Amino acid sequence: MESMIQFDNVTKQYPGSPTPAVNSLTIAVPEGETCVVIGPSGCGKTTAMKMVNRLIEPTSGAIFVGGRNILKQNVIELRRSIGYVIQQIGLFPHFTIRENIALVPEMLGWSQARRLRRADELLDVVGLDPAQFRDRYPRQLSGGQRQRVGVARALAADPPVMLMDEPFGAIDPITRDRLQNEFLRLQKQLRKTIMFVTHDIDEALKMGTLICILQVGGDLQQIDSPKTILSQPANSFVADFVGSDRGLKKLTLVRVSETMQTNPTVGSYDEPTADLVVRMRQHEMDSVFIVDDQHKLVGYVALEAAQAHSGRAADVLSPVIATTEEEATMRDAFSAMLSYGIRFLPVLNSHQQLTGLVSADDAQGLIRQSHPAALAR
Amino acid sequence: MENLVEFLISIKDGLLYYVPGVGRPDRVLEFLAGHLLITLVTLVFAILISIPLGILITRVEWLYEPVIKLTGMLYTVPSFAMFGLLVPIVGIGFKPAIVALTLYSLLAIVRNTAVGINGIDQAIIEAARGMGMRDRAILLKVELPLALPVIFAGIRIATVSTISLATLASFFGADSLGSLIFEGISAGGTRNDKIVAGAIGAAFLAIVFDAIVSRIERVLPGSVAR
Ligand SMILES: Nc1ncnc2c1ncn2[C@@H]1O[C@H](COP(=O)(O)OP(=O)(O)OP(=O)(O)O)[C@@H](O)[C@H]1O
Ligand SMILES: [Mg+2]
Repeated sequence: MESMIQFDNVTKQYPGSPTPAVNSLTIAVPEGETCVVIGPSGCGKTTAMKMVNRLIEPTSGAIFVGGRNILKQNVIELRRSIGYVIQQIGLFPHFTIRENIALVPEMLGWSQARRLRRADELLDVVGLDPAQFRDRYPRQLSGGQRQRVGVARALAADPPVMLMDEPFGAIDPITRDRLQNEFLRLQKQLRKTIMFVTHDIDEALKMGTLICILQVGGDLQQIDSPKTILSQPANSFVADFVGSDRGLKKLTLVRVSETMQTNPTVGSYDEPTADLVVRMRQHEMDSVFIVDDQHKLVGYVALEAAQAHSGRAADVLSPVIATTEEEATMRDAFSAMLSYGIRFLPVLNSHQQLTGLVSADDAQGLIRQSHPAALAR
Repeated sequence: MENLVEFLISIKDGLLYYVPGVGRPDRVLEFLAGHLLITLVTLVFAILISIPLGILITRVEWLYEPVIKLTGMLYTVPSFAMFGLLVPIVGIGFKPAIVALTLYSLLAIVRNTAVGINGIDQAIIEAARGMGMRDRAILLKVELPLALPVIFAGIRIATVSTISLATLASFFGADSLGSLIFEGISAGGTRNDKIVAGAIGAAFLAIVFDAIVSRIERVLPGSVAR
């Protein structure tokens, strides 16, 4: 049994409730996988997750973390060895950001110097400048920044297992996409075993390597890879839950990095517009992205504008209205292109450098490929 | 108009009582010391009883109602009746004053402690538990610091009411600024300056204590959270 998190016939029945919140649940999450638990409101997602760190005790059944029965373990030690992120974040408002992050290390008895170093390191990891943020209080941060600190705090003692209950639920869609991408990037290196609760099927398909679908009453409907969930839903509940636009959903399974055109044709900041015109004609483009000497995206130049003005690229530069990242799904990219009415989307890495290009044509191609007959394969 | 002039004159007389050579500042100081002693001892007892009791009723839910009701009932007993009931038990003087004033102070501090703790965002407590904080650490490092501003608001109410009620305690033999007032009253209108002097002193004390407590309130750890 090589699962990192294992549920064996776990049932939770709250006192006074006629039906169980979680009903004889058996799931196994192998090390390094992200198991997304999803289902309608009240189906027992939170209950299932909180039994792992014993905030809730199961009525019957057994749960193993790292092969050890959690009920036979010291509850305090267990919790300190599991990262925990909740939707409401729950930062301590009277602690600075650094104190918040260093809390578990402090309880584990790390030295002051090591704790401070770790807090700074983690702020970096979640994309917050330590010098700027370490001494602030939570109320001095935006919602997205707080959520990042929440993730940093959970990672502080480098726990092998993470529990995340709708961690990106309370933030706006654009920030949520960015946080999801960052987290995927992070997870690629960290390879934590994660139990992730959401009620957003697109988030589930994007974040999960395993998807566990529950029905109200805490009944497991299916646990499988995102691909299998989409192509072979176990029953009509799963099929309905996943939704009818399965062609579009399939875009969720394809990362931008898998389809993007790498090394796209670009122009540089101080190039003569005449040169840009030549290049665009040559490649049959009607606009070209412009980068600076560090290959950071600074804008684009339209063919007409370049033709009408003889000067440098910088003179006729237009700002880019939308970008995407390699970890994003093609669905994220496609819906951004649709909502901004554009046909190309530049792909940036975490340093704002242009690494590729995706097009609406690519996305439509994927949808066409994935009509039911193709999915059934 | 005439009344106003009379009022100002009596204030002046009262203040003259504080002037060396003219009045008796030594006696004012003595009574002030008595008043302070009653207030501080009362607050120490009230805080030592009320904060643990307030914490307890957030932990043992069924105790909440009866404790709040009981302290509420104590609070509504008229002060003369309270002293009158205590005298046969603890005698006259300092002791009944402390007991009575402590009993009056319970409600504000117990209730505010419980309200302060129960008012903390449950997500914060859950995060603390989920990260493996022990109950004791949650209480000391999270709940109490975050509830402290509310607890202090209760202490402030208790302080002001203790200072005003300590005046009455002199009627039952305790030394406080009230003693000056009662002396003035017994003098049958010939020594109204004493009455005013005592009243000014007690009012001044209440204002100063209120300012001190609210100054402390502002620098509490929980206040950065707001
Ligand atoms: N402490 C509790 N006492 C009694 N019943 C509870 C308790 N917590 C949850 N329940 C019930 O158990 C069921 C499952 O709740 P749970 O919070 O696990 O659902 P969920 O899937 O996380 O829902 P949501 O998507 O709304 O967060 C619900 O019917 C809920 O009302
Ligand atoms: Mg939930």
